[in-house]
Amino acid sequence: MFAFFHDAVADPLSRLADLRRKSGRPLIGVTPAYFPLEWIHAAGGLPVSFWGERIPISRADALLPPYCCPASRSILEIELAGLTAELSGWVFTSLCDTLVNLREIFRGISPRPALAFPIPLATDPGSRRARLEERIPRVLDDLARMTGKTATAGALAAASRLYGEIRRLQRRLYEIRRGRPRLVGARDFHAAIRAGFFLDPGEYRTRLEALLPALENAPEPKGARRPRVFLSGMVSPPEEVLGLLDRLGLDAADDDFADGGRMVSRPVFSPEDPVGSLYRVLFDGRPCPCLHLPGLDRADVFPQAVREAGAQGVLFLPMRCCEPDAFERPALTARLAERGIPALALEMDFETLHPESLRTRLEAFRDLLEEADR
Amino acid sequence: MTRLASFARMKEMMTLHYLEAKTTREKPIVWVTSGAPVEYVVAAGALPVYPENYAAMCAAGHQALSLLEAAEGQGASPDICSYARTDFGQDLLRGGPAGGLPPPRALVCATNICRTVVKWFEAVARKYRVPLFVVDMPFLHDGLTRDALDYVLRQFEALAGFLAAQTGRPFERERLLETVALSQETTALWRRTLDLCRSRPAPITALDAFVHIAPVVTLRGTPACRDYYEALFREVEGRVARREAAVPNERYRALWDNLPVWDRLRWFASFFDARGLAVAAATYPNSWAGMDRAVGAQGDDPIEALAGSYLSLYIHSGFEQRVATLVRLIEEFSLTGFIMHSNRSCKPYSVGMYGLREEVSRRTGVPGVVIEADQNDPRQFTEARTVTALEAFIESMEPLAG
Ligand code: SF4
Ligand code: SF4
Repeated sequence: MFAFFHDAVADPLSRLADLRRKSGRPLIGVTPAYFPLEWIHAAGGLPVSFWGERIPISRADALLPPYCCPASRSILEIELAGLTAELSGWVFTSLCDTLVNLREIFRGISPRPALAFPIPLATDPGSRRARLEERIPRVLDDLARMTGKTATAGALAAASRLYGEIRRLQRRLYEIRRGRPRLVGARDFHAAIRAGFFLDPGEYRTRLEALLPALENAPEPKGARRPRVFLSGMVSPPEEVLGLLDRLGLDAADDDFADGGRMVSRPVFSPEDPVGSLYRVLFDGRPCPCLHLPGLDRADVFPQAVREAGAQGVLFLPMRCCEPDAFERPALTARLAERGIPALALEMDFETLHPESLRTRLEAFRDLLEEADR
Repeated sequence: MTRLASFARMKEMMTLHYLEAKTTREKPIVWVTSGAPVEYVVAAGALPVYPENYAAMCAAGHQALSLLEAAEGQGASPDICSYARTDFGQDLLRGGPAGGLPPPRALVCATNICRTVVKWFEAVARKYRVPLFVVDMPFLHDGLTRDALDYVLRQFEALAGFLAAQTGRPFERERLLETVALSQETTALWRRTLDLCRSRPAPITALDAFVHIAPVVTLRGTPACRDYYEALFREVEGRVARREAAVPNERYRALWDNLPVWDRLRWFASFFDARGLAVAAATYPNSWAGMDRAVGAQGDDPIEALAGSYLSLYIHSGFEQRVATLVRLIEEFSLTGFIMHSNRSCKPYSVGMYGLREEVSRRTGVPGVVIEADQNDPRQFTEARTVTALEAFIESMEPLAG
């Protein structure tokens, strides 16, 4: 059922030329996170999103110190290694200090344009909205320069419908997993979500449309009840780690990854209400540690999300050197502890990760959850 | 380090400040970040307290390590800025030279130094259950823009309302203008003091500037602070007139980029003194210098000039602007090289540094060195590695030595 999705995410860099040729659209590289992909599509481009690749770092070392996260370092590495030559440009949001400055590095090393979309953090809601209102036409202009095509009102509406449909399907997939996590393994699940970063959206939608009824009609797998976990972190972990969870009998019921649950919980941009919908794209949905949300403390709502997923424990999979995520973890862990929800944190370093080295701790965590369930 | 008569006065000022912060009953305590528009806080009649400054004081007094360990023991990740970790530690242990900071009534932070401070202050807001006001200042990829100014000015208005709600008193614009005027005078005096280091020999070094930065970061906008920088300027000016050198036998002149390594200031000073290297310029102290002349701000509106200054911090600018600043300082201060502190804690200052070094060397022909350390975490400093890098750097400056 998931072979197509696994294939799509297996080696996306080697397929960029093919993707460009088949779609007839300029490819735009998207760095983490929350840039409205539908804008790129409406401007005649095809977004390909990079969240960090598992490749050895050699060239990036000369420009980005090892105390930067592996996501940023690997994105720089693929650019320096010429693996992204098919792209016509890059877009950056101001998600974190590293990415804001990575965009500056890209401007120095890449012949392609690097668009900046600053996400406002003002506490004052009026200032936030005014800033978004002022930015939308500018970013769309910048995109038009990149793709050579202006995003017309009609194109924005069509892209919004297409991406809205994908979002609806992805949310359905999340619901199915929440209800029957045993049915959809973590490795398969995230392949199905991630595939959308490297496919033509029309094709992706068709594939999701075929997948969902197949899953809904699939019989429940046999076997004893397994512990359910909620996965949390900035970026979903490498597929080997997800596969290990499946093999060890930990069912991932939900997640709040920026390339997973956080993204899927957000609406898409709507040209009918540009400022309001962009506000919701950025600030609604599962809270992200990179965004300041006045009046909302992620630590307050996190345990509720875990409970709603029916998860017995939380597996934090933080990216090494991701400061925004690291700042919030103690508060999240404390709130979980107050409610008696066990948690385990395993640092994800794409550069040195040996998934099997996580096995013992994951087994112990599984045993703990099983024990608590008895 | 240079012996300056002003030092005792500065110590006294800072002691009085922390004493007032710990004892005041009238003024609400507002924790602020170093790039926050503190003039609004002062004008509102609140007392600003800077955890960054306090963290630096802890490190300079060799007290940071136990605070870092205490914070880490409570779950703070070593990946987060060591200023924040030191702050969490002082809060847990009531540690540091003032026996801990007074609890905040409210928090004001600005994103013109980093986005890290938002996460840090959110953690403080969570702990003390106090309101946080974030002044978002967009990163200036291509210099100061009208839209960035408008966005910040609109937030300044909202900040005045926020502070009035905290103090229970209406916000007085007249008082704000007086405070801004004092701040501009103070930062102008600080800039003139730093500019005196264009003289050969340099009358003070950037390491001295790091020490004397405390009042302008903490108390700008007050008459006492302005008076202090007036006195400091006169003292340094006197040294220039008498050709008193900060570094005996000045032979090399370099720039320091990034924050200092606070607990190693004396170590660096002795190392440089012994080799005739005067660190005559630095980017960091300039962050609070010359807020009277924001490039690109229009008209004579002092609040707009203030917004422009806060937006235009070196650390908050695109690399082309940063290279231009470094090249200008190298030329204006007749430097023979530059030292870049790759600071594990401070990504906004350090990401891209290797590329900047190459570009600045290419444009100026002077050598640069990158040393790896951390402003507040002594565990990130390796003496042997630093010595080797600096020795090689000094050797590479030999052809340019004076
Ligand atoms: S993983 Fe964290 S530090 Fe790295 S790019 Fe994403 S938000 Fe920034
Ligand atoms: S040292 Fe850098 S990261 Fe830390 S608070 Fe200062 S500017 Fe932010």
